Amino acid sequence: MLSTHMQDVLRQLQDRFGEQRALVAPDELRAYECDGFTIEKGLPLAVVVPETTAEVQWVVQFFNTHGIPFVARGAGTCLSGGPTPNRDAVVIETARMKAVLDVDYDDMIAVVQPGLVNLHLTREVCGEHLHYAPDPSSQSVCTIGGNIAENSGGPHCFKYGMTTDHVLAVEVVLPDGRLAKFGHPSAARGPHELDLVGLFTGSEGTFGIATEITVRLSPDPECVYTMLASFQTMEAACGAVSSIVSAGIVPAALEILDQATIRAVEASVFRAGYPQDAAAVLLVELDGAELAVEEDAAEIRETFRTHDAIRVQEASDPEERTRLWKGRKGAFGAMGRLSTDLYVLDGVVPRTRLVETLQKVTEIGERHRVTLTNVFHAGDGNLHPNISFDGRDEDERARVLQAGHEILELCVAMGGSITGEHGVGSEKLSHVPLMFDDADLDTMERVRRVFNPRDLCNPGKAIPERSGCAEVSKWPAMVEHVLRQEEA
Amino acid sequence: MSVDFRVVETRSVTSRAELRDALTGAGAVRLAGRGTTQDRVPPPASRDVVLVELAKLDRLLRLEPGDLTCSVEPGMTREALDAELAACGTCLPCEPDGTTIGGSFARGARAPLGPAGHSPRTLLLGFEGVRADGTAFKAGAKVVKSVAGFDLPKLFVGSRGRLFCVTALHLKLRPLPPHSEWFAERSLDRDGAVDRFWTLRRLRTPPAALVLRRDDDGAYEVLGRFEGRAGVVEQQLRASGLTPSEPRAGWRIDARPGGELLTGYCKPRNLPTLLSALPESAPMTFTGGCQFDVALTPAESDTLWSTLSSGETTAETERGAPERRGRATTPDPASEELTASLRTALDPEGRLQ
Repeated sequence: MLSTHMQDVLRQLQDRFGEQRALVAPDELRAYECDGFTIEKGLPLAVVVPETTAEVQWVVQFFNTHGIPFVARGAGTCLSGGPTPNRDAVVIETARMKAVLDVDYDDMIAVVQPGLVNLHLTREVCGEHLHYAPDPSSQSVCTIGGNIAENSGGPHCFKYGMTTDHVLAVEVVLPDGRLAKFGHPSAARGPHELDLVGLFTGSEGTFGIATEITVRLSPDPECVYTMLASFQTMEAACGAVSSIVSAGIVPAALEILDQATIRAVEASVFRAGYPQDAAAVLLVELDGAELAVEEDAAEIRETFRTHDAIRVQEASDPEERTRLWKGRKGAFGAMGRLSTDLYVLDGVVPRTRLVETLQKVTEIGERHRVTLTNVFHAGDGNLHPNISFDGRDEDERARVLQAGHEILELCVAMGGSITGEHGVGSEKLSHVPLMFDDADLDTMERVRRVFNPRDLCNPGKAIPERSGCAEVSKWPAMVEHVLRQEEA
Repeated sequence: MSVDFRVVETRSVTSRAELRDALTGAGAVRLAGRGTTQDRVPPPASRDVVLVELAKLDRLLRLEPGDLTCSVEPGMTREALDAELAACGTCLPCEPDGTTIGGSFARGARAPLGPAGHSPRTLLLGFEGVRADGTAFKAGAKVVKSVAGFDLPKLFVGSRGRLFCVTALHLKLRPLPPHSEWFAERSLDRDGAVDRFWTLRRLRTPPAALVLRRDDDGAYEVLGRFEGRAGVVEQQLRASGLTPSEPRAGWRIDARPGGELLTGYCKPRNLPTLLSALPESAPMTFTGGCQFDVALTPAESDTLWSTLSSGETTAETERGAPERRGRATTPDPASEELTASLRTALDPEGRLQ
């Protein structure tokens, strides 16, 4: 039951935005209780849908006045609980702020609103042989504002970098409602300035809400060539990746799918003709000048042969390339066949340690009796072990979480990271201490307090809170539960 | 090391422990590598400072060619690192600026030379550092991709040692290009040079380096570098109607005696306007990464500043008399306030200058 004060606050919101843009009914709010990380949920107090920067400012100032936490949300495709509301937060949905405000084709930059779907920007500029390079797997639905919050990656990061490498300037409504402009249309920082664009990107919505974003566009490559090789072992597939990189070739993408993923894909609507007897398939995309692509492709063919590839498929025309990519792009969707819920992990290891890491990941999965599949950005060493499970089964859910924890622990032990592109969100808060000690977190907390001193802006995300130990204490309880189950 | 401000003591540190001692001693501190670029940043605000030299923290800590990463101490020179990397077929793909690695990243002064190249901000994966109060901490990671924690490596690049000091930098590498070839088109007029620059910048496979340069005689040239397989580089030159030229390591301009050097960024679209605002005799360069440098007399500089005070261009006086260095376009007020607050949060006593 809401307090009289809160009822009054919600009434004021509806007076300002109307019932269509200020949602308070529980059945309407249900759609906002989580993102792609479905293990943790939290019903928001309300959802507000602003259409302009001024409206975002008004909302943020309004919540500041009333001391109400708020969290910005794009399309809700985040996989780490980044926009999942907690502490009775209000969701500020940016979906209606989806305009391409300006495109400068000569200077190859675009100014967009945060709710613009990633792929829609490329569609807007493709007629001029330009594209927006960051391409998370969810690019047909995820928003550029959300990409900035999480510093999203994607299959083409290996060559083209992360979102942060393509953002030049951001207009931000700060957590106190002030408007700030970071960066410039020609460079993310002036020669005398701190890189606030870089700091803001990947701050998981805790430093403010982006309302206008200037991004760098990239020229379409002259030539694109896609190769798909299947291997009898995962070791051979990873070995081929190492050989390609050691040869000095920088493909646009280097993606691996394991056998379980191949079979899930081939049994789904994303069927792409991947060989189901293969232990792994490696998708390599080359782009650039035609002659460079030809020479690289010849060298890679030889590499595939050296690593005993069972079969190699190649594609240069768009249709055939789309087919080869279809299985990779649809891999996460295909997992839906395996169970009701999917936990997508996002650890990173040094590329040279992929094989031993994957072996240990398999052992962890077996030990906890979970259904594990692997699809990953091999060039970056960015693993996505996917655990399919039934979220209604409490025991299975606990085993899934424990397996996930051990996998991320393993990634850190290998010299890597707990997250390569999905963000910490609420999902990995308890894993952050695996990478960062008290002094590291104290330094980050000092930075957070500069932007977000009242901690109203997406509270409790990105780094664990320093005052309480809620997140730190969460894992032992879960671990205890699993151990009890295993003993029984 | 030559500096144009008063130094009460110079402490050359050889370990993190010595660095912590030096930082937590009394008074204001100016961090320096080998001190080669101290005349390119504003002098300290305090009258007396302790100069803490990091040049002896110069080890290559880790080199993983297979992972395309390495870790270095801040005092390592770029030349020394380049030699180590070249020996295993890798490189740090941002332009060298003659300083230590720590100095280069702390200044973050150079944009990519090409439209799609790397700069220090895209290559720093993580670091280990020490705050002004002596607290050792780290941020980022050693692997090529990580979004865990706030991106403090981005905060370090360009911070000029005024937020904290780094003791190790984890860097992203690239394969050493098998071949590179410079080109130069000389004696162009202004419009011809701008057109040529734009055309090359918009190529679907643009040059790795691209510079429009004007000398003090008013002559323009467009120069640059293609990189890659030999046959491909040759083909790219041919397709653009270019011929190879001698490598042009010395294409940068500097301040003339008694003069100043302004550096900044502007959109290529605004380049003609910038050129119109400059005196005909002022040497200048503009790169594919949108960075310009222009050498001016102090009087010419004052005139130019009046046109730069608003708009999309951002600039700073990099070289010149100490009291004139650091003159810059005004950032957004909220950004300026956040910058000041970040300095206070990380160095509450304001000792790092």
